[in-house]
This record gives sequence, C-alpha cells and structure tokens, in this order.
Amino acid sequence: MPVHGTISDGQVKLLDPIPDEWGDGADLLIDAATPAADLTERFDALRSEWQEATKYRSFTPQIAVHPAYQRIIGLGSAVLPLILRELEKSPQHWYWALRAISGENPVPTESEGDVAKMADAWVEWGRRKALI
Amino acid sequence: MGTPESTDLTGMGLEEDFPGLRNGEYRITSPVDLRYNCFAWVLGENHRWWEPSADGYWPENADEGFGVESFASLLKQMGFAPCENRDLESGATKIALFAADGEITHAARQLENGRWTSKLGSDVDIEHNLLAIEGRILGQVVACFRRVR
Repeated sequence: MPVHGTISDGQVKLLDPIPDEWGDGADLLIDAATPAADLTERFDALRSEWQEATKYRSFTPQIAVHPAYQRIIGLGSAVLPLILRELEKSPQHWYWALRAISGENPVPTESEGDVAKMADAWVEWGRRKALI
Repeated sequence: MGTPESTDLTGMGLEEDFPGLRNGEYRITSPVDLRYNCFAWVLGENHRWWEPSADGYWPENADEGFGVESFASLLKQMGFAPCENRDLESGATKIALFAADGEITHAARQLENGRWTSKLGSDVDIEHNLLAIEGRILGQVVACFRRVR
C-alpha cells in the first residue's frame, strides 16, 4: 500500500500508517555520533532491509517512503560516500535520498528516467565534491 | 558505474510475497533489471524508468501525480481506451492498472496467449494470470485499457 510522509528539519513524519510488515525500524535507530565503521554497518543493514522490502515497488514515492530509506536520509551527509559507492555498483533508487541530503540535483532533465545516466551524473558529482 | 542489471534470475520469495502464484501457473521471463519499471514494460520499453517525477521519464504535457487518473490519462493520449473485458481479443493490446488507496501500484500487459506480463518493481519480469499478483503489495486491478495493434 502506498504511504506518504514529509521531511522537515531532519525529522521524518509519516502521514499514513505504514504496512505492518515493514515494522517501525525501531531496532535500527541511529545514533548521530556513530563511528564510521558502525555507520557503514548500519547503512548496510538499512540498505538491505529497504531493498528487500521495496523490490516489487515500481514508483519512487512508494520506494523512498520506506522507514529504512528515511532513516538513511536521516543519517545526513555522512552517508553520501556510502550511497555514491552503491551507485557506482548499480543504479539503485538513491536519487531521492541524494537530493534530500545534498539539496542538489546534478541530473540533466533529458536524463530523467535513464537510471544509468542518473547514476553516472551523481557519481561524477560525488567525485567533484571529493566524496568518493 | 557497474552493469545496470544483475544476473539474478531466481525470483526469490515470489510465491511468498504473491500467494496467488503458489499454484505454479507463472514463469520468470527476465533477470532482475533495475533500469525499467512496470509502466515502461507495458509500453514496450526496457531501458527507462517511467513515472511523473524527477526520478523517471514522463512525457511532456502529460498529467502528473501518482493517482490512477494520471496514468489512465497518459494511456488515453497514447491511443488506449478503457475497456471492461479483460479477455483476449485478437488484434488488441490490453493493459491493466493496479492501485491501492487510489494510488497507482502496478501495470501489466496482456500477451498474445491471453496471459499477462509484469515487471515487478526493480525485480524480475513474470508471465502470469492477471489476478494472481493482486494482494497486499500491489493492491487490486482497478482499470483496463485496450488499443488495436
């Protein structure tokens, strides 16, 4: 079922109930002072949870509203290198998170929907910013 | 960047996630491919992600939003007309839209053998009976469209 939410001042507020099978992600709460190794481990756990739970979803708002994805966004700019390294491997749907965290969008309009080109644009952006 | 698709052809968990497939009357017809979604696939594409947002391709001047009506409007612009009959009709292509709570969740296209083909999110393509994938993930079939080939 589709769920909707908003992000404001770094807080995620869900406007609709989330599917029961998604849980509330309470076991994946993030400490803002997480060391880098723990950050990677927690990112990987959240990424795996998100990918498995949304693999049959066909539209970004339904993919990006998953609690694990929102928690990744909540980790802030520290996860940008981790996301960009994922994009170097495959063009997963990280674009919403990248825009939310960075406030930028390097993807040209003509590349929207071409996920390989979108990934390339973000990877290039990350290299220019020395994030990867 | 790495290859856009993986070689995973397992469709792991399909029958668990879609109980309607447990009778085995389906087959996986493609590997996992991240490049395209269900709406691209029903329109015959397998290289772009179609949706009305910055994350997808969407024709200019087409209605935006993730309500069923936006997708229905685009299909009408492309020559499809609403139909009630989901049976096979010689010479016609049919597309079914799935929704939950009024929001689009999926689209499937009828094959010439009368069965339906679906790209399941970022996962595999399958050939299936139309209603077998209804349920908690994709909701229900809410509209059908036809166009003469």
